Amino acid sequence: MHEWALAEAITKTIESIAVEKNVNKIKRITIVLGELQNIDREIFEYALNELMKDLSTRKSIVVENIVIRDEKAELRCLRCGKHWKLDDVVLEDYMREAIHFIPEAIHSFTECPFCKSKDIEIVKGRGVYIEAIEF
Amino acid sequence: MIDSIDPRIVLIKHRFSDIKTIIPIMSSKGGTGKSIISAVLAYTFTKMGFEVGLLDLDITNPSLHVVLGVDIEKTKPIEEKGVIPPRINNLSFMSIEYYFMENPTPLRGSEISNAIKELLAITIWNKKDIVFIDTPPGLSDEVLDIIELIPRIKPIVIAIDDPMTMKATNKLITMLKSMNIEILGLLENMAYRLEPSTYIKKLCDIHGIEFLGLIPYVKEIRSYIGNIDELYNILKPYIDGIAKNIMRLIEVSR
Repeated sequence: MHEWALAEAITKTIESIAVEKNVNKIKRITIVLGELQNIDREIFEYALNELMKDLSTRKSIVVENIVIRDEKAELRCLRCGKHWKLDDVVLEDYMREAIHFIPEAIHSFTECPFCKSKDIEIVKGRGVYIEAIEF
Repeated sequence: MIDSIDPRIVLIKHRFSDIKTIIPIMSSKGGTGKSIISAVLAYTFTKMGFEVGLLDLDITNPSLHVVLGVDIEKTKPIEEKGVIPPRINNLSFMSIEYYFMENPTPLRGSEISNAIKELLAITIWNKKDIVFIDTPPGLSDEVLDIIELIPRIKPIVIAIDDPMTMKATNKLITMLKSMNIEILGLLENMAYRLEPSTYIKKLCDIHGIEFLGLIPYVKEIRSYIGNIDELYNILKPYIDGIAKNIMRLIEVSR
């Protein structure tokens, strides 16, 4: 149910922006789910719907269209410069669980598959963010 | 239209809304005793009957779990619409180490910030009188993120009476003041004598900040790391007075 916290971050942000801009209708929001965080989409969508209903009841703020898109994760070595995908990394369940909560935990459990450096970075597909809000 | 928003920022402010006082323990140099002081101060306030949280924000070298003697493999936060820090010695204790699991986790600036934001966004503190935050030394990412992300912070600065640390402490205090942060006070650690160092008192006077008290150099302290009760007992003659000074300044009530 950690997905609930991520959905709550989205709705609290929408509430804050709507109040700041003095609007109660948002045409569309686009949410990106990064592969690394391994969000359970069903739970996330359920939490988001419940929290959106609450936002509509409490503040009469309505989002007409919610688009959710997935983003594949990509990692890069800062020593040799090579890129790789999450599919190329072997992770045990407990590692995936830790990465689910804190995506940077990938650094604890992996290294560059080419030069074995630990100096790597997450290029994309890290976690949840709002790509766009259209009014 | 607004592009690319990090939704965690708004949630983080909300997460701290039920905490009366937030005290980061800061120092500009390493090895000044921040972690032990954070843990023992937090524990002292639980002894006084307060609801206390303790957060390790030294992201690449967390060590509070070592001070508290927590088995990080077996102890995990409870997942419930976020994560609830486990209770350790009556403290709600949160650390990135529950997830990094004592593996070397080298992170550059933006990834340190991302890890901090994630940890702050998912952690549910509920009602707390005080949350103490252990921080890494210096004026880098973690410290700047704490200032930027966490509302109403009142840092305690830890200083040691040596010329290198004093110069750096002056920098830290100057920076905090320039960012309009209300410094709760300065604490002298590893003191040679049982009276405040002239330099440290002078620094307090120059900056108009409170001297909270001193803790002398305790040679045998290392052998008590991992047992918070023993650490408290050995520091009790000093830490109780410091806690009372803190209480007077923050005026928390149960």
